[in-house]
Amino acid sequence: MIERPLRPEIRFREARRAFRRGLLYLVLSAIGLVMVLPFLWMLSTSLKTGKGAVQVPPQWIPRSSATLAQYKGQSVPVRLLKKECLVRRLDDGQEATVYAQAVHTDKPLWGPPVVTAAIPTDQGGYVRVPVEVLGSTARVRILQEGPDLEKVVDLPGQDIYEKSWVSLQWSNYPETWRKLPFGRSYINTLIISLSITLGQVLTCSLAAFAFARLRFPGRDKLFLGYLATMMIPGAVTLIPVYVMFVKIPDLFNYAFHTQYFTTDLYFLGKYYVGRLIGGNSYFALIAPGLFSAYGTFMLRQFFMNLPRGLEDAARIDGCGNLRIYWHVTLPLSRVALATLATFTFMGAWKSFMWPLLILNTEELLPLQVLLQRFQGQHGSEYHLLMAGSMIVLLPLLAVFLLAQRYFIRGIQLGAIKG
Amino acid sequence: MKRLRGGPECSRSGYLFLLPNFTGFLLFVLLPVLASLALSFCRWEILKDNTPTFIGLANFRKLLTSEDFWYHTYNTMFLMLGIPVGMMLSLALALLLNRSIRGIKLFRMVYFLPTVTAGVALLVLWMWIYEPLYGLLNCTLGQFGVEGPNWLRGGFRLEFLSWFGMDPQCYWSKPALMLMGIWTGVGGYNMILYLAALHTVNPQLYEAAQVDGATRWQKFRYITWPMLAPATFFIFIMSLIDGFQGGFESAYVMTLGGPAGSSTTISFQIFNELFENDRAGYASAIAWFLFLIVFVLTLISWRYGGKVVHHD
Repeated sequence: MIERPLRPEIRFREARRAFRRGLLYLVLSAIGLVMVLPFLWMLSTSLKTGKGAVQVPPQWIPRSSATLAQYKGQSVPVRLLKKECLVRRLDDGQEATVYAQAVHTDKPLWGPPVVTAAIPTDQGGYVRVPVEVLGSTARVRILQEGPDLEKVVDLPGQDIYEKSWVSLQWSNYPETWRKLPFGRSYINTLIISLSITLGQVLTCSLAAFAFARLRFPGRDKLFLGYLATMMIPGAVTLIPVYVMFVKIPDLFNYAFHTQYFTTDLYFLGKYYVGRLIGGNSYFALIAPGLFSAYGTFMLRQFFMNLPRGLEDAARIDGCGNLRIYWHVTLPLSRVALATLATFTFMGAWKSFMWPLLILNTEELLPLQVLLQRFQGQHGSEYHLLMAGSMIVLLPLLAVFLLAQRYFIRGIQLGAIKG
Repeated sequence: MKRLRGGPECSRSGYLFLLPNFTGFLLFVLLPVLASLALSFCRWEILKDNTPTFIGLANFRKLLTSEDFWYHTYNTMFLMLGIPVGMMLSLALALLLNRSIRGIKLFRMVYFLPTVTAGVALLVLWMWIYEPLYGLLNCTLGQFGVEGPNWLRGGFRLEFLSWFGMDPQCYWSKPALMLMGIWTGVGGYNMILYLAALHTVNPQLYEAAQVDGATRWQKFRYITWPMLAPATFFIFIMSLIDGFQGGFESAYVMTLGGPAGSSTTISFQIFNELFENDRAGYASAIAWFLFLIVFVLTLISWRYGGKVVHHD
C-alpha cells in the first residue's frame, strides 16, 4: 500500500526548501559583496575631492557640505566666525553666555539627550553643567561674489545651518586624463592588443591546422616540442629576447650601412611612433606576442574534433589546403577562435613587464605601465589614482561583459591541458 | 602562396602552415632558451656593454650559497601558502554555485570580476585599501576599535622566533599580498575549473548514496571529493607553477620588494639582478633554477596526473 504524505509535511518541506534557498542567496550575495566592494570603493574614491578621500570615517557616497544662512530672505553661503548661546543653568537657574562650541548635546544610550555647557567659574576653570538653551546669535561673513557684498553680520543662530549634499567630482576624470597622456596610451594599448590578438589567432590557427589536419614528416615530434615549451617560465626567455631587441637595430644598421634602424620616427611629422625595430618600437611590443604554443595547442584540440566530412567534400571539389583552412575550418571554429582572441586580448591588455623593459619613452607606454607611472608621481592623491584605475579598467570590463561566455569556455578548454 | 593539391596523406604544405608560428617559436622561445642556458654560465654586464665571459658554474655556486636568494625563495613559497586556502574557498564557491537556480550566472560573473580586471589598476586599488590611515581596511577595523597596521610597510616582532634562531622581525607585507591574491583569484579560473569538474560527476552516484541514507557530508567526502581529485591535483600543480613564477607585478608596483626584502619573490629578484644590478648571467642562472622547479612540477603532474584523471 502506498502511503501518501500528509499535507502539513509537504508544506513544511516546501518552507524548508524556500528557507534554504533564501539562505543560499544570502551567502552568495554576501560573497558577491566582498568581491564588488573594493570596486565600489574605487568608484567612490574616484568621485571624491582630495579632502573627501581622506575623511575618517570614509563616506561611500561622496558628499560636500557648506554653511548657509537665511539673509534678507535668501539662502547664502557664509563662513561662521563666532556663535554665542544664551543658556540657563538647570542647577541654579542663572543665565550665561557661552560660545556655541561650549554647548554639547550629550546623546545617552537611553532617554532624551541632555544639553550641557562649559561655563567659566570664578577660579578660572570651567564647569560643565546641564543647561537649557534660550537663544543664540551668530556672527558670519557672507560669502558672495564681488568684494562689496562680502561683509560680517550678526544673525539669529537658528538661521544658520549646515547643508550637505551628494557631490560627485566627475572632473577628476578629465583632470587625470590631462595629467598624463592617457589618450595616446589608449591608442597604444589598442594597437598592441589588437595586433597581437589578430596575429596570434592567425599564426596559431595556421599551425593548429597543420598539426591537426595535415601530414608531414616530423609533425608529432614538433608538436611535442611545442607542448614542452609551454612549461618554460617567461623569465627564462625574457633576458635573451630583451637583449636581442636592444642589440639588433645596431646590428642591422651595421649590416645595411644605414642609420635607419635607430632613427626616431614621426607619424605625419609630429606624432612620435618610436623606432622601426628594437627597443622603443611598436614592433618590439607586438612581435613576441604574435606566437603562442598554448593557443596552437588549444586550437589543435578543437580542430581535431571537427567533423571531417565538409573538408573531404571541399577536397573532392578541388580545394587546396589553404582554401579548406580559410573556407571550412575557420568558419566552423568561430567559438574557439573567439575564445582564443578574448584571452589573448585580455592578456595583451594587461601585459606589464615586457613593455616596462623595452620602453623608455612616455609616448609608447601602454595603459598598465602608464598607470604605474601615474601612481609613482601622484602616490598620495588617491582620488586621482582611482580615477586613473577606472579609466584603465573600464574597457576590460566591457570586453568581459561582451565576451563572457568565451571566457568560461576558454578556461574549461584549458582544463584539458592536464 | 602556391595552391597545393592532394590528399592529407601526402601534404608537405604543412611546413608552410607552420612557418609563421614556428618562426616565432624559434626566435622567442627555442633560441632564447638556449641563449639563456649559455648566459647562466657567463658574467655579463649589459648596461656596461661588456662582452660575456665564461665563468663556469660560478653563478650557480653563488645562487646556492646566497642568503638573499634563499630568502626570496622562502618569500615566494610563503606567498604560496595562500594557494590551499584559495583552493578551498574556490571549491566552496563552486559547490555553492553548482545548482540551477535563477541568477547563478550573475554571481559567477561577479566572482570572476577580480580575475578579469587583475593588473596594475587592481594593485593600485589595493594600495589604497591598505593605506594605513585612510584605507578601507584600516577604517573598517577602526570601526571595531582595532588599530590596523601599516600593511605594506609595517612590521611586528615575534620574540619567540629567536629561540629557534630565526629573525624575530616579521612584516605584514606577505600576509597582505596573500590576502589580496586570494581575493583576486578565489572566484576565477580555479572556481570555473571546479564547476566544470562538478558537472562531470555522475548524478546517479548521488542518487545511490541518497538511497543508502548518506548525509550531505558523506556525499561530499565519499563522492564529490574523490571525483574532484583530478581537478584538485591539476589546479594545485598549476597554481604551484604560477606561484613560483609570480609576485613580480605586486612587488614592483606596491612594495618594491620591501620592507627589508620581505616581499621580493624570485621573479622580482631576476628583474632586479638584470636591471638594477646589471648581472644578466646571474639573472639567467636564477631563471634556470626556476625552470628546474617548474620542470619537476610538470613531470610530477604528467606522471601522477595521468593516473587520476577521469576523462569521459
